[in-house]
Amino acid sequence: MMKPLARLSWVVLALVAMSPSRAGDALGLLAAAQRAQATRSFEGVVVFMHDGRFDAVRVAHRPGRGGYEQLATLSGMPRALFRDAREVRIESPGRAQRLPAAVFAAPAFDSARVGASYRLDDVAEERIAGFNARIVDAVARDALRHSQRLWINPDNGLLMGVALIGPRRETLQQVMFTSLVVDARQQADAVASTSAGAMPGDLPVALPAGFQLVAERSIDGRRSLMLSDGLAMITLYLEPRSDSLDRLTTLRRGATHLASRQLGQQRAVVIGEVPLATAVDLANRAAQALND
Amino acid sequence: MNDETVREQLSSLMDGELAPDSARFLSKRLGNDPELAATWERWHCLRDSLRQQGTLAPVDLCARVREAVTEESTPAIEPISGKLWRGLAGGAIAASVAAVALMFGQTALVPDTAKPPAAATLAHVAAVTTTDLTPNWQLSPVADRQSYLLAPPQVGSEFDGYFVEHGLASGSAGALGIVSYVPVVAMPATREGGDETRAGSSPR
Repeated sequence: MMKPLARLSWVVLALVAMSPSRAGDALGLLAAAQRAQATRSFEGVVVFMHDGRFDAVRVAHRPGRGGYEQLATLSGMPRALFRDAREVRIESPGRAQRLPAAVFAAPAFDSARVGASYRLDDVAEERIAGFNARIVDAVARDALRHSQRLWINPDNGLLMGVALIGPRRETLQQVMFTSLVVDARQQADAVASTSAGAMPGDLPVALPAGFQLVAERSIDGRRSLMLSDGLAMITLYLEPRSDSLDRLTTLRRGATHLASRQLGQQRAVVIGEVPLATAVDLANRAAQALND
Repeated sequence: MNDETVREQLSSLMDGELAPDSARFLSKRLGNDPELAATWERWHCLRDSLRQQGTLAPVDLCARVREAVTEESTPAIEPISGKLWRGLAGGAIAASVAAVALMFGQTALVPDTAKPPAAATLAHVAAVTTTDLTPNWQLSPVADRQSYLLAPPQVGSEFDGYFVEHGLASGSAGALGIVSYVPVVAMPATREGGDETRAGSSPR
């Protein structure tokens, strides 16, 4: 018969063996956060910090059939956005802008891809807008992307906040809920299962390491390619131009960088929440490839 | 007439730019097409939120306003253009009255279906104060604020639309969902602050 002490040792060992790693916890939380976007309805107020200022924005989210998003600024210039499956309407005083809805099937969460680009760690727990939130740090493994800190509710999977962290550990941009009401009902899990990297056949240029094509749209000869490393997003536009130029233009708003490279009558525009060097490099290579 | 044309007309009607005959036709259709009526209503909620300087009525509240209006002011829209606007005005007044009644006559604005998890009860009864967030904020480096002060934003850049498109695409196809839409709303093309750096021409 096993002695009590030995039996206890086996129980402890078994518990240790079963406890998931902190990286595993972080991956589980990220997967839950993406799932929650497709299943949870909520309303609340977020604070958006960027460029040394912050703005408050009211948000409402309804997933599923008939779903929509509605946002309105509570500070600064009045502005509101409504999106449903058909279109996006952006309103500001004296101006209404209607755009076709950019509805793409979100790729299935790919833990391997995220893990290849980021070192994940479930570091602590904090209280955000009255909810508990686990802090997940996604530390970039290279200089092609920013690190991210995400606050995720462990009970319902909702993303309570996200911060983009620069190479000097400075906060580049941060969004955080200050109040939140969650619908207790849950939609049927409708997460699209489009496999990431399903359409890489005719990519004109090699993508930055870790990024894959997740969606594409082509209108009037202008291609929009959406690239993702599992967390960060880049949109690459390839478009013919009537004028012939040799020009590089770069812009920044918040943590979003844009690099436009025109060679002759072809232009590549890269925009994303990535370092400027990543955007410029891809724009240069894409414009060159369009002219080859 | 396809759906897109109808929505174009609805948008024009909202902006007061639809011809009287078309307005009359559309008003009839609004009365018979619940989906179109819901769109009309949402757009108005959106516009109203701007006029109220940022109080976005919960959509469920809008639905209750619609029900109240339907009960109290049918028919709100008459099939004659001259009367159309009086009808709309009447509907708007009825909607306002209904909204006030709903906002002050109910014990809470939170819809029944939006009950929070038990663990989060405090979030709904206690006022949110800045102390809730203080430990989590890391202010931007001073350098960022200096660049904001020294470099006025460029307004109306040819690339404005790319920022909007990217934000919308990220919100749909990205991992962060609605968070990706926030910059689209809070950092419009003609915002008053910000920093844009133009690198200029490259000889390459």
